[in-house]
Amino acid sequence: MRNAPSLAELQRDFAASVLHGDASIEAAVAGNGLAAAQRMQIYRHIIENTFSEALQTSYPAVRLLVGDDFFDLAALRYLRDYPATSGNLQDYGAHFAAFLAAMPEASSLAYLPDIARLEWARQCSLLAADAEPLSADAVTQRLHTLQQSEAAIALRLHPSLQIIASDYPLFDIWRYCMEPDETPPPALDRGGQPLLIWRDAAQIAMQPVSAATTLLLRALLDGQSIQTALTTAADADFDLTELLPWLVANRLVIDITAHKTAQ
Amino acid sequence: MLTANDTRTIPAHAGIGLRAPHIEQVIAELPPVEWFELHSENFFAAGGDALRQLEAVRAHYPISLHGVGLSLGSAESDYRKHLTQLKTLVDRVQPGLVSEHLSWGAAGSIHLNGLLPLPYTEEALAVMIEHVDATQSLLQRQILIENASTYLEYRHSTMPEWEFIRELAQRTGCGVLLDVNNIYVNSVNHQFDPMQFITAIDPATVGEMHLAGFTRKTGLAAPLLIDSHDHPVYPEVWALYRQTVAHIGVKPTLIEWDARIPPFAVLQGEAATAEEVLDAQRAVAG
Repeated sequence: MRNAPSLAELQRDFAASVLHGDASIEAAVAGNGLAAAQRMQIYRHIIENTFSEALQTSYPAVRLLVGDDFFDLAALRYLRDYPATSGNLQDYGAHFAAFLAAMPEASSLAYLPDIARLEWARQCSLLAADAEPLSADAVTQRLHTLQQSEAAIALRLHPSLQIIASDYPLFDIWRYCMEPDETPPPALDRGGQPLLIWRDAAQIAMQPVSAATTLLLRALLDGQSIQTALTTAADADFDLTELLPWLVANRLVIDITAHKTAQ
Repeated sequence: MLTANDTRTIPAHAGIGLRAPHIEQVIAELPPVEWFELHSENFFAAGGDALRQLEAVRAHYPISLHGVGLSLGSAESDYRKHLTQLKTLVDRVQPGLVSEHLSWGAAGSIHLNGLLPLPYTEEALAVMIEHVDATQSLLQRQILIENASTYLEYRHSTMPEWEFIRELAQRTGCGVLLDVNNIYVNSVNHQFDPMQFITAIDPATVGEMHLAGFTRKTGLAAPLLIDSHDHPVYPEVWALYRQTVAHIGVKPTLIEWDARIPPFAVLQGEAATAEEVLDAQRAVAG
């Protein structure tokens, strides 16, 4: 028998046993009536269940699309390929979209990775910081003042706002998964459906928008002024006078100030 | 915003582990419950509805924060980010108690998110002491450390579990969260007399007790109980709890139920049973 492992060696061997079935740890485990491998199997089972349930919680639409058996298989492989790097389970699953995109058995569902990106964006939105939105009156007043001074204008959006672009009608697919009785089957050939995702009180809200809107909002989130962002998103039929009141009404505008040019 | 003066002490009565399915009901109905315990990590968020719920519960009840992910027993893991998040939460809600586990969960950067067994060695004790000291120092308060259920023992352990946790409390000043169900589970899994564990613990260091239901695995060559938190407290564990209270004294006691969670009234019934045990001890102790 080898010498007793150091604590660090023991913990590395334990992880290698759970994730990859490595037997190194077994020499250090007292069987006491069971095989050491059986005792490790108890822990492997508990840990796999914990992570599978965490993925089920974050990815309900992916699970509905692929079925429970396929999802369980994907969850086990994902754990081996992308083991958790945080003691907070809410952080687990950030790479599931990339994992699914590379999973050969999932290649027939081309939109699956994008649905996973949508669901992770919902999770991020759920945990994002709070921020007090500006009222419509405050927005009008500030815009008036800033426009008089002809300053470049910075518009800050709610921290929970996420933007998802895809070649597929993600919103229709997601709704069909989650609310099948109230939603027609999605027309997969209808093309992309850019989406805004944000937190509205206790709920996660989603809204399909035009591609030009996502370009403008991305530019704003990147810190560009409204004037520059409008140039970026240049689109013949783009109308800020419609988008801004919509953002304000949905409590997504948290600050409007003079734009400070980046250093 | 709460101030430090708003900390509400956890009373020496029965409380209930509050989980997501019951939070809105508790906020709406404000049932008569002495105190609640919640899992710290569920509120590791920059904002959002979970924190609003926690603060709503906190406005009406003493609360305890119970962590499952700090991984205090890991030899090589950077737990400072997790600890910083815990500090942010503790500063925000000023809980009456903060607790974690005598276990490890991460090997280097790989987290297994379990309450995994430590070898009871001087080396592991030194690691736990260093991390408990650092945690108490950053939080600027005492924490409680809970004995975990385990399904294996290591050949190179040099002391029993009760000696390990007693030493940890003596050398760090941390309190002990005595999980009576876990002691029972380990006494079956590793074949010892549970009272040997309980009588080894200094009653003055015990800040809280836990009760929960286990699952009995059948068809194995050795008896095995799993700490599943999905059943009522078993009669064997109630019996051990009575003996524990007689020895340790009246302490805040929590009913935990984390899977297949029943209606809230079932948890209130379990808490009432624990309260009867505490009442009986109060009567004896005069």
